[in-house]
Amino acid sequence: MNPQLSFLTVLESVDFDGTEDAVALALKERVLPIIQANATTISSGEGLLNVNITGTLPETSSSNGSHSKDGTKEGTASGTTDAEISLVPKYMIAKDDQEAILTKTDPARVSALWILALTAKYGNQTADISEFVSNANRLLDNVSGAQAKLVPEHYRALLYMIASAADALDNPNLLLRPLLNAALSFSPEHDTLSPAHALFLIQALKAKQYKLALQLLKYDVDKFDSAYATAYQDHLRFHYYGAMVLIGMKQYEKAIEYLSIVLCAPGFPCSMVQIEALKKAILLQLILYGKHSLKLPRMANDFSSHSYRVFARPYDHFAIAFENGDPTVLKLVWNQINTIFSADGNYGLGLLALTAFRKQRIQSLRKTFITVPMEYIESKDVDILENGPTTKAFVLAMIQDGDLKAKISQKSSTSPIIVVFQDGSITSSHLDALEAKLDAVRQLNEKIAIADREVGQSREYLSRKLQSASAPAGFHGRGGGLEDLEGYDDSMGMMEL
Amino acid sequence: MSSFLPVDSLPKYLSLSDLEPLEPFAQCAAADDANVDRYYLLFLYSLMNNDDIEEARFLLKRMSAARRTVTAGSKDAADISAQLSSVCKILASLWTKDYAKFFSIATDVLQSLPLESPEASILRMLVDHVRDANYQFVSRAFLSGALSDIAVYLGLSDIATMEFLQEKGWSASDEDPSTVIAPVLGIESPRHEAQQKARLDSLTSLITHMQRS
Repeated sequence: MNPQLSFLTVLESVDFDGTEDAVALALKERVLPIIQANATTISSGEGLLNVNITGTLPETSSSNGSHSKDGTKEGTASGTTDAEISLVPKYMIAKDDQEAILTKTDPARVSALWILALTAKYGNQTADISEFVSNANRLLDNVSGAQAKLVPEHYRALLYMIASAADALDNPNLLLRPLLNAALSFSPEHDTLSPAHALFLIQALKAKQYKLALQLLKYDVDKFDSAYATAYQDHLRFHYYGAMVLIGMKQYEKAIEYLSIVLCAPGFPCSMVQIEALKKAILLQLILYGKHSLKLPRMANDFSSHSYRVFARPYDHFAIAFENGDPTVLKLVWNQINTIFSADGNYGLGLLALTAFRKQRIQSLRKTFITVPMEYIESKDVDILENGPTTKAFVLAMIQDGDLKAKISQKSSTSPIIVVFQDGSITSSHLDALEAKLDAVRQLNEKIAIADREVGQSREYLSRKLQSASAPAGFHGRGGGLEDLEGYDDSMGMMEL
Repeated sequence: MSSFLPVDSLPKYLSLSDLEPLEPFAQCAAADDANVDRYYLLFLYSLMNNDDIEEARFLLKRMSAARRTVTAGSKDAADISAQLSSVCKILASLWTKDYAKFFSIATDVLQSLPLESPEASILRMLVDHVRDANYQFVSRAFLSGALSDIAVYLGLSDIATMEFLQEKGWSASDEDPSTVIAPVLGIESPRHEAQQKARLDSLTSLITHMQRS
């Protein structure tokens, strides 16, 4: 029997008008076995696909401060550059099958087969990149998430091939929108982490497509399954790079949420991504709240806190100087450590923190005064770098941006300018925002309740519960960091990066 | 390398949704394609018109990166047209809130453009938009102030500013004619205030209930 004919023949019998899951199941049970039977098994070491990803930490400073550093950072300055990643799918499909799939089938209907064909045809060659890009575009514009889950290793490999092609052509915009579609189509509710999520954000940051990246970040990703070839690093990177996008778009509060997720991740020892996240979180806390806290979220791993304190020490010093409120000391500290901020890609955030320091000194006058002459504000105003606007222009800008609720009064050109502080009145927009937030919290509560039930009924949880019930006293005291939720599994072999 | 579509073939009244899908094509077109410059010009002005200064800055970076990619080895990447150079300055002035500079550069650029060109039309819209937005700011930020200070925000002369403000109900100060006094704004109706309060009370109850559960 001609294998090629048999797989195409079987394909004809699949009902593509069924649901996405039904089609995926039919392909898995009837078509894929035939293709796998013809395929060549790759043994470890043959390295079908070796993809080199470098410069994985684009800087945020280019989007914020006046200091501009464009492009990505090569090397290990931030410690998160990937080494060569060997992506070795278990098998490579036969050449005849590759051609049959790419020429005779529709990628919208048989995404799984297209994934197999593309990784096999273009995986280890200096093939025609434009042909690869064209085919990958056709696939990702119409990819079925359910079918991608059938061949997770090949799907992950394909996505990295696309990123590599974009880097080779020095065009991060290449296939950016199809990558976004791939991430969104992985699950109907867009809440499942896929190999495309972090990769898309990296490319979007390189391409300065922050607004496009927000289309992915408007969905909360709270489902994670390693069966889909998603790794612990994908979770860290998605939320870290997501925070960088949010910082670029000035959504600082949501950025802090994302960074907190990174800091709470249960890896041991802590990842450099988590350390970078902590540095940014400290600066964002200063910008938003005027104070910092190296106190980690409750669920964070205690083993990591020592590492955090060591690596984030300069940031801690800066934050202490900021909180103390002495501009002379702050300027001294800034002069000492701004090169560290720059090397970490946080110079822009540092500048924003200095601007926030200036703003918060003016805002604090509201606690004491109802009206105050502009001259008095000038006497209290401090521009650390001495290159900003005048006090009057700065105050007017604060009022314009909503950072200060005040009005200006000047009766005549010879009389002093008076700043009249206003009470913040609650408006309809405040109430709308509050309602939206409460609705989001309610939905999150429902998701947590469902997740809690699922974890509570899982075999792993029940067996660990039994173990801890029979364990000697002091078991829960180990490290002091294990809480009630024992989803934390020591045997996973925590990642070292 | 394909050439970019002629800008004059685009609809007369362009919106962001008309311009955004064309960016991938602009990135691949030749850097010396005049239509590409005009496209970026219109796109940048449209973003500024929609108060999307952040995205305009990012577009500028993407544009610069695309030009470096396309013209590597053949042309100086910084050699952009005079108009694009002006729009960069306009964007910088809006970013730094230097409205004196904004109105000055915009006026100069308008004088250099054909009257009926899409660029002139959209730039005039931008100037009006910035003036309107600044007036909204001035009306909530000033109880009274120097005419010259407010004129900077409106991009008008002192006399024109006085006429503009008087139409909106402002008046000159008796003590000093170069100072203007804002009109007294209407207060919220008691009914509206009661509705807001009722809504706030209901949200507070919801929060308390969620805390308890």
